[in-house]
Amino acid sequence: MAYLKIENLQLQNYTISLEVENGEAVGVFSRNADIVSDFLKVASGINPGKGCYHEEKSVYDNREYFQNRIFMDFAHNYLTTLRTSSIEEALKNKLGLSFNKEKFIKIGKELNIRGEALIGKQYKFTPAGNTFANYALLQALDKPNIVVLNPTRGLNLPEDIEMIIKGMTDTAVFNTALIGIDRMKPFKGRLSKILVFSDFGTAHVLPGEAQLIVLPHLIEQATPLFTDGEKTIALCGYEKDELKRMQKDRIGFDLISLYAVEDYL
Amino acid sequence: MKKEIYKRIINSEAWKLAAVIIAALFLITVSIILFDDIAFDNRIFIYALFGTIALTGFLYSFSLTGKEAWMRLSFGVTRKAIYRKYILNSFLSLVVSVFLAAYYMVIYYLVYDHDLLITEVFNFREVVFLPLVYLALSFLGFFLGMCKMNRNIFYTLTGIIVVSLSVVVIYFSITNWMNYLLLAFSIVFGMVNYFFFMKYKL
Repeated sequence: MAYLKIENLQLQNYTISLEVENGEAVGVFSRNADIVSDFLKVASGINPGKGCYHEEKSVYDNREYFQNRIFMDFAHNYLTTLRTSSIEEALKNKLGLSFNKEKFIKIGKELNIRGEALIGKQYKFTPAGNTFANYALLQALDKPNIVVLNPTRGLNLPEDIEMIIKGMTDTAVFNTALIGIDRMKPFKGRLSKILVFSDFGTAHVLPGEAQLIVLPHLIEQATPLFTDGEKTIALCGYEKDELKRMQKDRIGFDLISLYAVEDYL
Repeated sequence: MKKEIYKRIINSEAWKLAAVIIAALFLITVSIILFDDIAFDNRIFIYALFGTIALTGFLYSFSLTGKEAWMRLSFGVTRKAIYRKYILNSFLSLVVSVFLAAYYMVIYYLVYDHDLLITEVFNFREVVFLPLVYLALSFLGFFLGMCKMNRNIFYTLTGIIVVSLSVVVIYFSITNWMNYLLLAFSIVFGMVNYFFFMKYKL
């Protein structure tokens, strides 16, 4: 049975159907950040929405579902200190959560979070430091299912991005990961499937290795995903002969990976 | 091991609450003696107590639905659990403050005015009115937080409420219908809040 089953969920203009199996890392991508955020809030049971089920029960305000999942928006500042005893006490008293101190300290050292914080009465993190701190907290809470928004916010160094994404999509650590993608490329090879909200009011669940085609805007597409007015990026459903014919007719096109989509927008 | 148990007891919320209550009882006793020296109005403590919790409840409730609820929901606390805890905390504050007020009245009465009836020393309509104000304001703050009211407007409103309440308490005599009205308002608002809280989008 799927860990999370979404059937005909209506959100803004989109109708969404998606199944998240145990042991899967699933990405959510759109050029409109609001729809990703809205979707993740519904999928994590925070906001009401019809059609989201966990073990055949609606996920909305579902206690069993809540106990095993955590939702984090890495743009948000969750920590104002790195003192583990304070964090542990606050989590226990306010939220009844257990906190793995050792893991938090280990990740903190690996990412050098202290180097990304101005230490005063309250810690002021740089944007990268805030993402590091949130990531360390995410790992230290030991929740099996995670929902993360803006996972690479404020990060510039490829090795930092790689480490965070690798850790978040590691299905040996997390049972499921539902990630609102803020940049595509680093996720290459890490996701089982991606939910894509197109610019045309449709939602598609694509496999990680999905191939897209970039064509002039005037050519009509069966499954268009994005457009900038001049060109359209669509799901590639063409056979080899059709592509050859297009080449012959001098219709310029590019075949791209789903992860390269941002280079064309 | 012993140290750990000691630390756990010291850090427990129940212990902290008990320590605060004991400290408050001691301070009330001392203040009753001091009030006599400076000839203060005997109601001043009751106003201060309920005024403080009413304002705190108003601000806390606003921040709970405005900011805190989002955090708690993200970390796995359900809306039902948040509301249940909020109601429990509100009533606990109410019970503790009523207990402190009752203690103050009894000690004051025993020390100074034991020749009179306690109902002649304190206006019981006021004593009922003030906790109801706390409840109503707390529920109002909770509602305004859900409405995502602008902070500046909220703090201006807080100021207006404080001034209005002071004027009502100083210049108007509290009547029974005011208490009934506040009680009805609190009950209805408590139910409306639950309904909205279970539905509103963050």
